[in-house]
Amino acid sequence: MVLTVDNILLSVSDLNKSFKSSSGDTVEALKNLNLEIKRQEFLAIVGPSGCGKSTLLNILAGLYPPDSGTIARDMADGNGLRNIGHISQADTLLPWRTVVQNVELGLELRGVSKGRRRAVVEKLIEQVDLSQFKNNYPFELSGGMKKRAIIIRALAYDPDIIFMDEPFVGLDVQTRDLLEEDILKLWHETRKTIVFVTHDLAEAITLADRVIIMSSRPSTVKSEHTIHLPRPRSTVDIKFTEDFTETYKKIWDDLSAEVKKSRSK
Amino acid sequence: MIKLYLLRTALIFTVVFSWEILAAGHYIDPFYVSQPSRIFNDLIAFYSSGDLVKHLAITLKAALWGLAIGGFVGVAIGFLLGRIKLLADVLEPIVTALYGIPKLALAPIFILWFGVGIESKIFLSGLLVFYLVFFSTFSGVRSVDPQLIGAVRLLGASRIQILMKVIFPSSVPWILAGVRGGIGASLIGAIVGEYMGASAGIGWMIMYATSFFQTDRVMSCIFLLLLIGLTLNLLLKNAEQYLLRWRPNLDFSTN
Repeated sequence: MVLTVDNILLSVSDLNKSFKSSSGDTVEALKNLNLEIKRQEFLAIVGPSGCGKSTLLNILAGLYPPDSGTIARDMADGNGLRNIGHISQADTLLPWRTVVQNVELGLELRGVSKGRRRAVVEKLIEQVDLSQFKNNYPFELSGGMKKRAIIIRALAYDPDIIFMDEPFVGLDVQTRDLLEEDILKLWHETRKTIVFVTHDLAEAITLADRVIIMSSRPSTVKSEHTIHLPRPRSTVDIKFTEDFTETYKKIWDDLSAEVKKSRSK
Repeated sequence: MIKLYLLRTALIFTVVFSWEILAAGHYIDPFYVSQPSRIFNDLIAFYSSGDLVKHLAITLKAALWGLAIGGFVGVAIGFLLGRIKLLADVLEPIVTALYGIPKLALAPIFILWFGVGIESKIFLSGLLVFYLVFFSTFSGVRSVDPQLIGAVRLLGASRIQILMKVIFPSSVPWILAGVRGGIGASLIGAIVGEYMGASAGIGWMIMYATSFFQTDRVMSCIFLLLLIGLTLNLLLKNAEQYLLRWRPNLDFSTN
């Protein structure tokens, strides 16, 4: 289905998805979920643990189909595969490739010549301060450096949209702050559409234009909040502003009700 | 490092020197165990007559062809069975059952099939190598991190690209482990094949010399086999260091 409304990149309506658990019960993950993603926006999806955020993201990314519902995309389908970026919390750098070779992988798969892809990749590597390590193998990098390499790997081939599934889980707070800075900087420069899934409301508010709160299972969009904080933002300083606290409080009331609900399940 | 090297040299020297002295004093009988000096003299004679190079070339040729063919087929079948589940489900138990047959015991029938020429030695050698490389490759292909495959697929890779850029490089350490075992196996295959029926080769020379009680010559041959094994393993070690340079150096030695 092709979208006709301007400026909407991806739109889903009445999405349903359930899984069979190992005990044989059917678990409803998503129920009648509706969502629109605008071009060039930074959208954060927040919800209690196990609410089906990842399921939604994987369906949007095309990893598996929904049980029912429609997904309309305004994107070019190249080689039968959608031109998307996907970043998870896992370390998915190929250990036998150097940083440069990892970052250029998407371009290499698309048949871009070595000279042209090196030009793109070197610039990105410089933007996230990895130049010194560009010829190192992943085992020689810290967790934060690996994450930066993974992020620019997803940017290098210019995807229409980038899905980030709790990318910073397991990293220490300082590393995380810096990575958030990197993401914002790169987003300002490239204006990629980013869908960022997290359970951390502060992270969502810091980064996003719009925050969507998902309900506990079976999940649907509970509420939607536009973040009016000024840009460019500093990921650390912004957390001390009154606007931030106010926004946080307002959305937190919404979210905490869902967290409590999902705890009692 | 230097200290280790010196200790090792001292140990070898002590053993060889004791052997020489004990044999000279007839505390051990050089008729059965030979003597380092005699082995050295025999090696010179063996080389000067041109026989050494001739026999060594034949055995090496059989072993290296066995290593190459067995290795190639092992990797190929390992990949096929590792990637195609139906094929693995059907064939893997059969291959494993056949593995249970002591393959060296089949040497006489290979001589019957392929004659006393080099073909039977290559076949035996290749068969031994095949099993080692196959099992190792098969395990390697099956243990590729599915998260890496998923991530590269999302980057836009086709099935072939995933095979070439994820599964193959990820299996290289496993393949090399198979080849390391295969080096020894290829020599065993060639030598045992020559024991069973041949007219030349180091294995044949060992049989021939033993039947005439020429223990010096037998020991010379064994020394040559030692050198070959050492050289091939050294080459492999260098290849490994290059091919696996992306892995952390897990050397926990304290020196």
